[in-house]
Amino acid sequence: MTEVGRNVTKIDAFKLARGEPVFTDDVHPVGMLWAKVLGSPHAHARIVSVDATRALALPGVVDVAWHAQVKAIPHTRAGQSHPEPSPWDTVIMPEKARFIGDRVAVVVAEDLATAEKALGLIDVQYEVLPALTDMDEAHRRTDVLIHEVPDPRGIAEGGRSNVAARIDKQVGDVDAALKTCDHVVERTYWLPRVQASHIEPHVAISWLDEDGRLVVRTSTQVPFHLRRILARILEMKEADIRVIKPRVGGGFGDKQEMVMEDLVALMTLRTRRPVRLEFTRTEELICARVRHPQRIVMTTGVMNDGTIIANRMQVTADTGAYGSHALTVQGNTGQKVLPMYPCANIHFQVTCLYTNNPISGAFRGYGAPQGCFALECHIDEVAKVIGMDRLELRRKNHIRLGDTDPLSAKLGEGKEGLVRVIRSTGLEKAIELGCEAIGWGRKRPPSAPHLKRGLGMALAMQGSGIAGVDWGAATVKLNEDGSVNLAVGATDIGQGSDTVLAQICAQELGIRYEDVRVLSSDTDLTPFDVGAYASSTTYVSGGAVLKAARLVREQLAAMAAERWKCAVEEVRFGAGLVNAGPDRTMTVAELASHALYHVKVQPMATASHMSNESPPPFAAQFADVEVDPQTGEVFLRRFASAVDLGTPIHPDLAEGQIEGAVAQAIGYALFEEVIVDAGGRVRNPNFLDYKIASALDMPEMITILVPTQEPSGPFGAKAAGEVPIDGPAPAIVNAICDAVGVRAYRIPVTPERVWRQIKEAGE
Amino acid sequence: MWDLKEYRIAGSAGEAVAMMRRGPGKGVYIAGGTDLFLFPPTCDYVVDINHAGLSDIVGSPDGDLFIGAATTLHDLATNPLVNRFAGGLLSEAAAHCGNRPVRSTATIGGNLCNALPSADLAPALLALDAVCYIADEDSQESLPLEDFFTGPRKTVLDGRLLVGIALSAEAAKRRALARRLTRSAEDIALVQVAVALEVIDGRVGAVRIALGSVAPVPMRAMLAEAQIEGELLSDLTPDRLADAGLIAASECDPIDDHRASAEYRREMVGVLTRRVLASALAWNPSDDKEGGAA
Repeated sequence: MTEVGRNVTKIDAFKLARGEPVFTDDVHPVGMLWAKVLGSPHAHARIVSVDATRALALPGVVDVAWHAQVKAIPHTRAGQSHPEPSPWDTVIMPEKARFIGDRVAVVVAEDLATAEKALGLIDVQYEVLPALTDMDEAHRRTDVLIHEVPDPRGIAEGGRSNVAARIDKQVGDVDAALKTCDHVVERTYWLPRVQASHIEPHVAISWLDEDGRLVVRTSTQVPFHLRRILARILEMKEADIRVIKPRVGGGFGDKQEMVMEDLVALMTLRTRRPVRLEFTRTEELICARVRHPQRIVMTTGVMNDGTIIANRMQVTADTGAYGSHALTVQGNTGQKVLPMYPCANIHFQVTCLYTNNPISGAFRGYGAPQGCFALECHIDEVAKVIGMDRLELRRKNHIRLGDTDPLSAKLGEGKEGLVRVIRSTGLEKAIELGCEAIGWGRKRPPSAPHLKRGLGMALAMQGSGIAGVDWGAATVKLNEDGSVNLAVGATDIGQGSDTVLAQICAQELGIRYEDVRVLSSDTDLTPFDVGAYASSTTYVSGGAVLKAARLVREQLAAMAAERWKCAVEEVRFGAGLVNAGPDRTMTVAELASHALYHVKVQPMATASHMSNESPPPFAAQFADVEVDPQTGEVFLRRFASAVDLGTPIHPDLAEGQIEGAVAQAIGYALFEEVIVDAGGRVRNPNFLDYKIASALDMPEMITILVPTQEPSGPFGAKAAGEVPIDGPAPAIVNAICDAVGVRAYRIPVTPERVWRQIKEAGE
Repeated sequence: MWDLKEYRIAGSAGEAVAMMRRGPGKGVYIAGGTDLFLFPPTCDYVVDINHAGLSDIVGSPDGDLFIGAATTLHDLATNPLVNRFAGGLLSEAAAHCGNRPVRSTATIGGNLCNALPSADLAPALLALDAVCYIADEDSQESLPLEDFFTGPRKTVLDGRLLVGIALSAEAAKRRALARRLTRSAEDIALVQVAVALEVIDGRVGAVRIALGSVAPVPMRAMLAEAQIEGELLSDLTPDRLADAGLIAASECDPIDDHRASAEYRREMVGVLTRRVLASALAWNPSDDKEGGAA
């Protein structure tokens, strides 16, 4: 291997470092209008009337649109594959506002200040309705329905209750099994609402091209899903819509959703002019998407020797005003987590509720961080109850090579899924290396007499794409000088997928990575891909690149064999050369030139790839904390991650994925929370009040790659993007418990929460 | 969005006040602008004081220190005179404000004039008996920092300009330490405690205990100070220090908000006051950096 496994220069590194105009908002078309959205001041209210007369009279205001003027075609903004598992409970401009910030009207003006000023000149009459902001109340109340449409496609109990999604799947018989166990341990865990906080906010610019086609340049993870959804709700042909994804400054799932592209498209179609909309940070924290808040009840039946007999996970979740990913995020909470400890009896229940809170949706980890927190804290609790070492208990029960995962077969992505068999795992090795790195069993002394020290661990697994659903395509085109243009629908959103896909392409063609240029993604120019989500790009889209490169190699081999009058099987590729024995050698460039000017054929192929498997990457993560019991402060001193992501195609980028995920999860564990009051108002919609982790919050970070060979992945690769965000929160909380003897069942563990718990435990 | 009509640059303190008073409409002073840009005020013009000769740190031969209002937090954190003054208390406080880009721009004057209850420099300055110098168009007055704040985001200024802060040589010899409590590293402080005291022949002389983020304005806990002042070191048992902490806690007046409850803030005033006092009393003058984390 030369190109795969090499820490090549990231393909976009220089242009990003130079500050080239590569992001959506870096280029403004001539005559562009500025859009602003009027958000509802009420958590739940019917929009009785909208009068834009005064706004339209303001010089510079060009257009105002609201529900009465926009055709209501139900859809979901979740940005998933067709058929979408999320309920079609959304229209472009709703008649009823369902959370504070919900769309009431959209304004376009010649400049931003005018657009902002115009918002205050729109006269709206509301009929205020009772707001349901507590998920249990939303569950009880059937007299107040947040979505009262009789049968909107995909809502679990549409028109009858506020339940957006339900799951109830069982393997074996948990109730019966629990009666046979030596111990039954039941605990309840609470997870907060957090926001992805990508550096680049949501931003989209649209215009009509010279043929009158709609072009949308946007910071998205899903250009092709976006085109499909836009075509349907705007009643256009897909061929008349072009979605361009330039460089993206982070997405983390929050840009899987169509948060604003429909609005700019709508206003461009109405005004025939370019339109630009960008969220402020405050709008991001109120109107984008948050991780689903959940309450999880774990019930585990276990024998004295530590054998887990039965596991039950009951999830109650708050999807907010709309059901984006309501079913599938919650499905993942069990599906990606419970298989860690296989047993004969598994029961998984979900009740996901509409409320008048901000919209929950996709966020890196996609339900698994919530489930992993509950399960991995719970394993420590079970160990304590049965008096067994917590590492021992994990080692005794964790999933192993060749194990099957019966829950995946029952759950799938919203419908019956595929049986999953573990064909590669480095979990045991990861546990061993992680323990060694953190000094498990050899706790360090506290750094000051008033501090307490503790160690904690957590195991995590995720997936590599959605089995049987996710797919992507790639086009490889060889030029006469031996260089390659690779066009992929896969979306590089900063994670480095263009680089990794170029490495896979170069490796298969036996050329240098530096000779590959990548185009991603443009629905006019690149083939389809579902987009960057579900940890799918390296594994799924990489598979497509590998196939396309292989097809081009076969074309080249046939031409070389023809020229040399030898068998195709004799032709070998590598180090930029093609040969068939000692005196038959030429460069790929020579062969390419031969193809184009002698054979007169373009060496080129497009290939598609889908996997019926979703091999899990595994992580073992360890925290070393100090706690000040008198103030409740937690000082995270060291954090170790040992991660099996198959073959690391680009080890530095893989480590970057891991450390970035850990950084994000440290905020989840210790201080991040979008606080919504009983009236549905976000109390901390800015970075002064909503704290995310910065460089100053980082511990000493130890990151270990544990390579394995996944038979179904390109060059043995699995996924890296999500699995490392699952374990840090439970590992940190387990370490705090080890240090001070009290367990937090709720994150974030702010100083005050730790202090209060210690105080209450002492009373 | 700012709807500014004019950007005025002052060449001196007097000119700045004149520009402010000239109107028409409402004006604000700007130095680093870091707090100003967080929540831009409605105003017609700003008066920039960065070129008004207010960015210097000057030490007198007797050891007094004068710090211009437009001195950046980074300069405060790194200036050798400030580093040496009272064990570097003020430098430490400056070094914990925000992050490096913020510290390179934000100024001591801005930190004080915004008058947030959580102003990062206020407790340290109160503990060092800082005196404010305030300029009018053609006059100047000075007053103790304690009298400068009149409420959250309110000061005595009324259009006048804070030109600088003076610290007397007397305070330079104090044993001074501070501690702040936050959720994340770059957070607004939930509680701040700064202590400065002198020990003469085994007996405590002047004591200052200053608190931040726990009352409408940065404040001194004078009843707690009285518990310690004049006492023999040998009499100051851990219980006595804990009592002083409890008294400080009873003196403050914190609020509940989404960052922390009033109850927690008050309790932490007790814990941190006790700890910082203990560290300051045990402070070995040859080791300036000791005890900061305790």
